Amino acid sequence: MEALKQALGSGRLVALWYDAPHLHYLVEGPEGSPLQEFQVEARGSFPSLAGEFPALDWFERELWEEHSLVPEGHPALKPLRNHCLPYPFERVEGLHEVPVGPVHAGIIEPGHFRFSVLGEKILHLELRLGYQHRGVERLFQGAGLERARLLAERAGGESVAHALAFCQAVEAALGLEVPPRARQLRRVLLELERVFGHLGHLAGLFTDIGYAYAATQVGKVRALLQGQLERLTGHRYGRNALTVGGVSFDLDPKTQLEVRGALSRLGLEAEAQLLSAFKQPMVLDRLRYVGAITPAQARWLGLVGPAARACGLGRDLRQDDGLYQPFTPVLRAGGDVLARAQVYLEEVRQGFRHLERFLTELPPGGGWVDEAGPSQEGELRTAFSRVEAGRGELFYWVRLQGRRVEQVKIVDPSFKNWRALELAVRGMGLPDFPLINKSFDLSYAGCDL
Amino acid sequence: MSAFLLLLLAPLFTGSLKWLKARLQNRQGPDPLYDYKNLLKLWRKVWIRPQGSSPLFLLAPVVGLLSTGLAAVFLPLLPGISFAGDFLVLIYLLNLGRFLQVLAALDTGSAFGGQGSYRESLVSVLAEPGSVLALGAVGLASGSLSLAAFSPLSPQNALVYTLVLVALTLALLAEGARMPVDDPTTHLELTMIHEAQLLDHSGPLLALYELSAGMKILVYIGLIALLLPFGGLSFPAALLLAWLALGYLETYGVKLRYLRLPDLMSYNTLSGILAVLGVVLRFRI
Repeated sequence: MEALKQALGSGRLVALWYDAPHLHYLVEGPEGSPLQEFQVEARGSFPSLAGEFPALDWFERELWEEHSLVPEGHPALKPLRNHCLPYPFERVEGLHEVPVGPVHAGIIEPGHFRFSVLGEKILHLELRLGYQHRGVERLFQGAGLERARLLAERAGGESVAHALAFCQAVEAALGLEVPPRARQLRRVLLELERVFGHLGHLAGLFTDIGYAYAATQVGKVRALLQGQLERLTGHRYGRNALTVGGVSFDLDPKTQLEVRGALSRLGLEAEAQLLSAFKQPMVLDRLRYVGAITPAQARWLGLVGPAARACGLGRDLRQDDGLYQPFTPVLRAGGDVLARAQVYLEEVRQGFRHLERFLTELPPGGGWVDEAGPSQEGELRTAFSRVEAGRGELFYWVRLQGRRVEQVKIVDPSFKNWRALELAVRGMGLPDFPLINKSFDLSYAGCDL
Repeated sequence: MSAFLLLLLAPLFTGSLKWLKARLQNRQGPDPLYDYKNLLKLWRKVWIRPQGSSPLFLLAPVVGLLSTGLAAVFLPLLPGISFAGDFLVLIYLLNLGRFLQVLAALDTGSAFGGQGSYRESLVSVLAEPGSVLALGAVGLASGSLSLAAFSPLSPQNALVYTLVLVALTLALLAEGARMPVDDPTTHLELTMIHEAQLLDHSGPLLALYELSAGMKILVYIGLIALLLPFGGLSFPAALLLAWLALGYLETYGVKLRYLRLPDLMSYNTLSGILAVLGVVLRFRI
């Protein structure tokens, strides 16, 4: 326990899951040090660390709800996704409360936001999510690998990243070696997903500040990129393109050349549109100094992905991926909406560069392994994997029995980043909230599972 | 006469503005006549009244349209029937509609109705002095408070009239709930000003609101047209100019941060004050 506290103090919690009768804490140390896994035996209850390390708050509430494990000494134990239990909102005496959602005026995912405001100024915000809870992790139990992969693709906002993380975890458990061509094709899909996702976030930001022209142009590039993804895989979100052991599509040299050409044209167009939009003084005025997160807060909440990189915290799992080398993560200081937008912008340009390189030198060979694998009655195997999805680090842990999934734990990046919104809006005006929310652009479904 | 003209023109103006904006953004866009069809569709729908709301909820859209229509009657745009009222009547007729709209939005008891109400009240408080002062300056310069007797732009009053036009244009943006004051296309409840008040109105009630919002913009354009020196062509010219300017502004412009709104509207008031000073001190050039 002491060693765990020490590791959490200097590092960051990657995931916390329950593999009865042990709790597993996966902690990433400071820069470059390896992952540490801690096991704590828990039957019925376990000591809570959320008071000391707020990043654990939602994880512990999740354990309480999913596995009936009581976190002893938790500072504010209340339901996370269960809407049958009473939910006490934190109230600030003397302030006006504005409830927003879960039904919104636009077509977006459901979530409830409880603001405590003084005039137009937000002093406190509490999120209540869980409206999209489908019991995804339970649906995995007993599923075959094919069905489980289908579920993973539908778990959160990013189909390719989820499928990749799931496949990698299963491959690690079964000891499968994916051929180099398939590994590179997977990275092509992952980067395409990241780039069109980021363009979506940026188009959303432009819509929210009323800059209709840039929103339409960026949205157009995004749609055309999805068209290229469809050309490669037959699906605009890249579903069913990945399988355990490889990929289920291949490229002939002609398609490879054409897609590469189309992508480089789209890259130039996106860059030109975005750079000219970010030169507009009115755009900068709307984005700068709005919704700022300090590096200390980011560390405190254990933020991941672009939200963390916009605060200057250099965490990008692609640094450790051999295929991406040389790789420097995009970092910005400031932590405000503008910094996050600039991280998206730079990562779009970076993504196009990687796509160009991946599609130029595609290793020859097959796209998947015809693995024999262990038999149906095979022994228990567990493994985890991490993937840098567009929104940040995505974690999958699987326990397989033979070729059936027994248990799975998914930690979507949104699950770690949602609480940043509560801090980012403090002191901001109520009309700026949608903009700040859009700058994180988190997935409700991925968080609610 | 002019009231019917504006009533018929309003959906064309707002509908074709949507089309123009779409074209400027390289989109196909809706049919320019879309707003007529939309009004017809809304008119045929049922409407829902929130629990606990008073008859004010029904009254506001009706009075809103009537008062805007009455304001349009005072505009001497067409030879024919128009009353020789002074401009204050027109301004207050427009405000009567808004006053009831604010009350009706508060009446629904929803958080967004209230939010829209206080924001719209603030915008109107900010926009009103400028437009009253500016029109007052024109009245002083023309020697009559009646709209029909307003003298148009001429080399003698160019400076004062420029200030008046600046004030009226800003008032048009604020009162018409257009960019950069308010984004008419947004779906984000928390950023809405005008739209937040209409969230609970549906069907024919919403149609009345939309119609009077469109007419209100045309009334302001009509006021601007009174000051232009093109005689009978003033109103079409002002309409075309406003159509192009709004289309451009809402495509390439960025919405102002809400808390910055007083900064923009202070130009409105300032132009009004300077225009009055200009007339009083007889800076006719």
